[in-house]
Amino acid sequence: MPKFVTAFLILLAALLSYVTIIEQDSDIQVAAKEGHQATISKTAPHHQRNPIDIAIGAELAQRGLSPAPRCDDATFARRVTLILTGQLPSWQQAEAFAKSKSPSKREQLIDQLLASPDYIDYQVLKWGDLLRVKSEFPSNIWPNGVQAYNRWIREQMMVNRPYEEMVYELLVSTGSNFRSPAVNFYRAFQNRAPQQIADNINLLFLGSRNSNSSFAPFFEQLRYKGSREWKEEIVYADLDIICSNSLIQMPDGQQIKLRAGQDARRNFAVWLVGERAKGDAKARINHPFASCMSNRIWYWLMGRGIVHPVDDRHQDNPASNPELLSLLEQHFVSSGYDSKALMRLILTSEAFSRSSLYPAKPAEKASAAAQFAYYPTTRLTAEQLIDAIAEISGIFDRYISMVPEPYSYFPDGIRSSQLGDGSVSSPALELFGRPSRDSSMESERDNSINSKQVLYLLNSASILDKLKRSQRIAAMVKEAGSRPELIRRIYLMMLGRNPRDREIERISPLLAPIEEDGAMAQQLIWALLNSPEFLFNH
Amino acid sequence: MNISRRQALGTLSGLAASLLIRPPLLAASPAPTPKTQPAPSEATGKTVILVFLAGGPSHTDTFDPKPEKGRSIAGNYLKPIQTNNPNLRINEKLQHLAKIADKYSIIRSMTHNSNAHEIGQYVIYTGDMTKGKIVYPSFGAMISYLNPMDYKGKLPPYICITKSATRFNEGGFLGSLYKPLDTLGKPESDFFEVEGIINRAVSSEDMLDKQQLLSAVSTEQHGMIELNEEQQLLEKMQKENFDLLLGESREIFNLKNEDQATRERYGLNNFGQSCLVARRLAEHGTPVISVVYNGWDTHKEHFKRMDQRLGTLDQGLAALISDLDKRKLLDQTIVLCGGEFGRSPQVMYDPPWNGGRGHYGDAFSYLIAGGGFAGGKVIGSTNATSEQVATRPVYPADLIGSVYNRMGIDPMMRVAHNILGDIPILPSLLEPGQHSSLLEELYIENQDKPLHNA
Repeated sequence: MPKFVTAFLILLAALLSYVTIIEQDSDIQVAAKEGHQATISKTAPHHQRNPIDIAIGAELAQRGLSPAPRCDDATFARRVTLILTGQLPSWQQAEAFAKSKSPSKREQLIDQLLASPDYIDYQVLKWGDLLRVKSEFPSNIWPNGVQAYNRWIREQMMVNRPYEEMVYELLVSTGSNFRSPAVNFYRAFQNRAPQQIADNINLLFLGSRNSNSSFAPFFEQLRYKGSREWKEEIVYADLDIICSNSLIQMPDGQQIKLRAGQDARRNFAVWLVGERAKGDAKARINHPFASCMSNRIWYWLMGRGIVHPVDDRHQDNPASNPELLSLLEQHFVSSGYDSKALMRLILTSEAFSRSSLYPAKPAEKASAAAQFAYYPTTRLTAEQLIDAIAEISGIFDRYISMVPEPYSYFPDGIRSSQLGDGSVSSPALELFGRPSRDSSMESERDNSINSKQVLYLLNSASILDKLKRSQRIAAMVKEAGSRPELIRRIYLMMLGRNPRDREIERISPLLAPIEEDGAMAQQLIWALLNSPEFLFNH
Repeated sequence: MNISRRQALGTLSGLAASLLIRPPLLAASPAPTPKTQPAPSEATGKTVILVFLAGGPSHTDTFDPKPEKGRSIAGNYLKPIQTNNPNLRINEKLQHLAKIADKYSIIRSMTHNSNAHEIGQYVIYTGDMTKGKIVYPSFGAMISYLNPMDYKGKLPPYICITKSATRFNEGGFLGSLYKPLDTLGKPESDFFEVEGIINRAVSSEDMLDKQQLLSAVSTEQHGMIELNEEQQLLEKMQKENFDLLLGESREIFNLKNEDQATRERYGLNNFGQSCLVARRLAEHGTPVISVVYNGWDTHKEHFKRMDQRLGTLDQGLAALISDLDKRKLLDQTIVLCGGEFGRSPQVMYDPPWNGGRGHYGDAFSYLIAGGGFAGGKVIGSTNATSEQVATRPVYPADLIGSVYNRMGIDPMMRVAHNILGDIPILPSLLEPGQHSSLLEELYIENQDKPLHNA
């Protein structure tokens, strides 16, 4: 066994190119030996460099930081599947990906996932968090409204609606909460005072936690009224109302004149979303608006914002790499606010493909994190974890909501990420930090690990029972035919990779006393479920 | 520590907005302490048990009967019984509680004006009626976080038997770490499985095998995944939890350690045995315990369902209070009992209700005992129809503030919110119309003479 494996990473940093040699520690060496050589790449092979990597490379070079090597195929497949669909690849998918010889298999996987229905589900979840889709306190959209709103959000995702169009529709929405679902945007705000609404919008679409008093007058005409249908609510602008300020100075210097008899929200929406570029160099771009969403999409995929946190944009919290953020924004705008296209650009970058292993001193590591020199590890989110346990066992939790009426029943086999209503929950989802949708802040989702979660994973009757009752695991045991093959498939299912020789040597004697293969499988799945490589997206 | 959450978007203007720019993350910083506030070391309450009657029990059919109004208000319960407190009559089904009324007091003038379950529960659990700038944690989460009694037990500090009732997220801005551990399981069954702690299928030997295997599997992953702070924390927590799972704290949940007579005294049903588990946790020193008794949302068939429930409630709650008293634990254990609101005093005899009662937040009752609260008192009153508070209104913030006081927490104290800076733990104590005053008339040190058994 050679002492070191040397990986060459060639970075074209802006105008200069340089070569870094990274000495891998012995563990990587093992990983590399057992079949990952192909993927610790010598360079990005078959297409021209992604502009993202040029921007990051420049910044890294300037700071004397080296990037982490490319992660192996197994890690990549698990990471990209989790991040786009909230799910783990099945063992068959993991194996097929490992075996594929296609040089562009990573791109193929990205495209396949972006076109999948699971991607839509997962986007609906993310937007549900942002727009605070919830029957009850504090959004109080009520079940019927939630259903209509969810369907609307889903439709936007399914057609990959240009972001700027979608936001415009939300902002000018008028009508019944059942028949014009976008009006639920205005119903979800707990406090309906114009300034409060303006503050929420400022946070959502401009990433600012500050209160901007110049935005409030645009929402002064907004009114809500009931109808004779139960829980129906009509949201509309009362055009007889004259806003308290008719000449409004916007943060970018533009002056907006409000005219009597017009819906002032339209003036605001036009200003906010800007004009679609479509090759028109003179189109007015609202940069903070485009930049905010570009940064948010980057955060969703990369686990850390370029401005971080993404919803705390202000003068004293600058972008860690302004060049990078501005190129994402340009790409986003010129693609016609195409979220998927931006995602594809990010996912095909070397930056997304980097290993999460980055041995360095804390100070250097913090700087490397802010410059995306490696991929950060994140605990599986509540939905990812709970759905993974359901998928592994084939036993899905049942979700029912008895309060408020009308009751909500969900079909068997629904994943927690598909629930669509923040009020429908389970103790396990809450334990693992599912956001309560009290605010639109990304930090509401709590992915930190705590002792109660650890206890639950170690000894939850519900998890052990699922493993025990699982027909899916029983079938896996039967089909595998032999114990080594069974162990291999379990590792693929749980970690997306084959077990290494050393691991097999180490665990086999511990599993040997368990005579029955089914019981052995349950025990190993339990152990892997509690292991760091499973619990973290890495 | 993660208190980074839950800033429901609200008035982020002025000072608050400027604070946003530099999020401070500080330890709790107490405000100047008023005279009536005991230091944590002198606190009279070490544990608080909330017996929560989820759905909202009728106040008129429990602790605030109005038989003189006849069937329109009192329905089927026309003969309340005299307790051993000369000033207190309660529902005729509450026979056991009637004999120990010197041990507890009744507040008849609770009010918060909300008739919705979720808002009622939020307000009762948090004391927060400010409507929405920040989502507050429940008082149990807040006590767990502040930990005035310096609890260091292996079991979590806030345990709910068997499942949280709340429709909001109990951790509030403190995050999920401070939410209660829901035991789930069935304490009335032969074997009380406690979610995450006691699993019938796993013996101690099994657990040791599991520990060994997990250690082998995880160690072999070093190098595949980085051993950063989070992963180290995971391993540390796994070790601590294996200590719990293999240690003696688990015996607290084993009701076979109680003799059969005791178990029967509490009632051989889910609620009774839950109360028994609560007593055992109180002995252990668990700071916050809640027993959730569901099914009090009696819109229809109200009297039939009350007939079924009141006896069970009476037996379990009376056994809990007497048992704590007998074991000299009542002095340090606060017991509260009530729901998110009361029920409409006017019986709805018309279809579709056919003798039901609706939600009612304007006036309702709470039982309060122990931990430095005097028994044998009746606080406040409602008008002749029990529809309005007549004297001495008590808001949720007054009740929770008083509990904080007894537990050695200054109700006016402020804690750090990492976005908004210092915020009061009970904001409604600062808002007119959302509080009246703490229950100082019930504090044991303010009693003229000690109360004795009648």
